[in-house]
Amino acid sequence: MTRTLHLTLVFAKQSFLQWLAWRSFLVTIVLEKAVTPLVGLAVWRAALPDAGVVSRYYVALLLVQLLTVSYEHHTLANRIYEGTLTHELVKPIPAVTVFAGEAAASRMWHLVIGFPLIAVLWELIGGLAWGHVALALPAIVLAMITRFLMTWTLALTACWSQQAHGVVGFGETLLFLLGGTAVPLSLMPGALEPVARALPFAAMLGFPAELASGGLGGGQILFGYLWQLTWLAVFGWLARAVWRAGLPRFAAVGG
Amino acid sequence: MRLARYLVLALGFSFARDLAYRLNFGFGLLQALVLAAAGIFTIDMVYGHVTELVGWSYADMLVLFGMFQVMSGLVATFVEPNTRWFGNSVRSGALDDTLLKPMPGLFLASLGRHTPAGLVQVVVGLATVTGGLAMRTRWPSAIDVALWIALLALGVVIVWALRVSTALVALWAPALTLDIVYDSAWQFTRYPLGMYGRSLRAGLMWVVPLTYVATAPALALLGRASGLMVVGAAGVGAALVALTVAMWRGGIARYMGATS
Repeated sequence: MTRTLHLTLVFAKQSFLQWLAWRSFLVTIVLEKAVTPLVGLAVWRAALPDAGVVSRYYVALLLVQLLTVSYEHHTLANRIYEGTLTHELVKPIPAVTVFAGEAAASRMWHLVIGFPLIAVLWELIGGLAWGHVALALPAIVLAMITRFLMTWTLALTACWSQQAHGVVGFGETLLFLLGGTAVPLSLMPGALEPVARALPFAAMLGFPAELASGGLGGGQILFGYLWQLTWLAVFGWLARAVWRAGLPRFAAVGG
Repeated sequence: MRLARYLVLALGFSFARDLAYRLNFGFGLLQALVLAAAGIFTIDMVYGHVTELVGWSYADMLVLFGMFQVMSGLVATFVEPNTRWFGNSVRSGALDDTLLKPMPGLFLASLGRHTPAGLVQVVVGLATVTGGLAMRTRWPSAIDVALWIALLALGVVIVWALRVSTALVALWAPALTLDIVYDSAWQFTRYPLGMYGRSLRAGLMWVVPLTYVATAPALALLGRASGLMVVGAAGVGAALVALTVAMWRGGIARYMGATS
């Protein structure tokens, strides 16, 4: 585990420096990822102008979105389609460390480039309580890992289908609908809210955002963390199982 | 006439090509339906808390969202397949293939290839518009429909010009990809402009005039458009088309090709 973590950090550093050559492209993709929380903020501020917690929630959601963004359908799936996954498979290291490192690096860049936008919004809404943000940090880390595992698993459908990007797109759509972007979890209809809170999508976005914006009570925080740990274990197992099932189907260039 | 005939032929070829991969085609249809459902779900959630949003009722919002889908579908069908990878074709020199053909280069580069699955979004969008109109007490009059047709056509021209001019930046700065910036700005047009702050509203009206693309046709169907809006849209459309043609001519003069 220590070796895996060390390798992930090495690849994260390498990828972080490589991205320096693509600064302008990074700005455009950060803008793309920031749009849905910003549109959500505009819509719900217009709908509920007196609810300050909604503004705080969406600023927190923007922060969580930038820290959990995943591009495995571009990194992993495209390498499967091109046959260049062999470059990682022949190395005497777990291949997942390469992709985890790349994901960590891209998220750090998203935070760096998105920081001015977050800072401006932070000032506009009067800021988030630092105590709530500190309480949310473990949840954000768990969300980062879970979302990586979910996107990794969906991207592995490239071993079976040409539609891996579409499959990941479905996952992102469900994340948008049920993860707290389209509508904050606390504003969902009564029957839908408990179901949405139990699903993995809230664990990846809405729950950390609600924690950071101070929108949850003690019981909800406990259950939220329990659901996060549950889904982390589920997607961890699923990612491993799908990898083992998909790898024998992978045909490298020249195979 | 020749260009219109080519457009119809190219669409037919695209259908034949895509239907050879029926599962992929079906998947594209499913994606369009899911996106439509996601948009309507979001609107439902918002109107569960309010009856009006910046003066737009639930029915009005469905009409606007439907127009957004119609425009998105038209762009996805006719323009996106060409502009999405325009930067790559400039960098690799594959644009030579387009320039050597005996058809206007700008036409081929922006409208030569199609993705028919996008038309599902158009159909779903029209159904959403019809559903929204059916919920209102007043159907559009003949004048409203005439204004709608005019604003729809001009909106198509404006969105073509904006999308293509964004892609043509690659002829000056091949490493710069503005497709994603355009797509991000486009998402703001699914809701009424009145929701946004003053500076963003001004940007969406005057800098990147996407307001004419979905909102104006929707306003026509809701009986809130006027001839002045058509004149404005025509002026904006003409200016953007002139800009796009100028960018194409200037950019092609700089283009080096694959073997230069």
